[in-house]
Amino acid sequence: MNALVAIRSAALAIALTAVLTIGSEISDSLKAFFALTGSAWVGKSITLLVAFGVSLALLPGSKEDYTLRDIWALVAVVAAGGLAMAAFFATHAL
Amino acid sequence: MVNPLIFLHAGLGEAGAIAFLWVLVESLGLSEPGLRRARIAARIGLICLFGAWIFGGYYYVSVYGAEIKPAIVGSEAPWIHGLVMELKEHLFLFLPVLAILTTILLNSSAQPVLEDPAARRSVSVLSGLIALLGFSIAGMGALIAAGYRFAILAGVA
Repeated sequence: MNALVAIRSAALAIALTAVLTIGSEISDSLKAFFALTGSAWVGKSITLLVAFGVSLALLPGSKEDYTLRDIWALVAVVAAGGLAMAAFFATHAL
Repeated sequence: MVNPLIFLHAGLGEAGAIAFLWVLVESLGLSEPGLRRARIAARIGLICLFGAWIFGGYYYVSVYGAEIKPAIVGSEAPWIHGLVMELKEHLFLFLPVLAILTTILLNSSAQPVLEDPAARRSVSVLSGLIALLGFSIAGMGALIAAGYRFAILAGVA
C-alpha cells in the first residue's frame, strides 16, 4: 500500500463527502438518489467508502515519500470540509 | 428507557476516540514496544469506529428519524437537529477514513514510523485529529440527547 496514495485518497474521499453533503441539501434529486439505499446518509456513507476504495486502487502510485506537509494538507481538507458543512447547516438552521 | 443501540454507538465511538488518543501518546516518544502497542490501539480504534458507524447508522435510520427527530424539530430548539445532528452525522463519516489511513501509516514498511520522524509526526497529527473529532462528536451527541429530554419535558414528545 502506497502511503502517499492513501493520504491523497483520504483527502479526496473526505472532500467529496463534504461537497455531496452540501450538494444533496441543495438538490432534491441528488438527495433522492442517495436515498435509493433507504436513507440519504447511508447512500453518502457507501459513496465515501467506494470513493476511498476506488481512489486507492486507481490513483497512480508514487515513489516519493510522504511528508508532514501532505498530512497538514489533509488536515486542511478536513477542516475546510467540516467548516463548510457547519456554515451551511448553521445558515439553514438558525 | 434509553435505547441500547445508543449505548453501543456512543460507547464504541468514545472507545475509538480513546484508542486513537492512546496512539497519539505512544507516537510521541516511539519505541519498538510502543509501536506494537500503537498498532494494537489503532486496530482497536478502527474496529470500534466501524462498530459505532454500523450501530449508530442503524439507530439513525430505524429510530432517530421516526421518534427523536420529530420531537426535536417540534421543540423550541429545532436547530439541535438542523445544525448539531446534521453536522455530527456527516463529520462522523470522516473518522473511519482517517482511522484506516492512520493504521496504514503505522504499518507502512516503505516509510517505517520508527525510523522516519516525518512518518511518526504524521501519525501523531492524524491520531490527535481523530481523538479531537471523536470527542467533539461525542459532545454533539450529548447536546442532541439534552435536546430530546427538553422536548419530552416540554410535552412535545
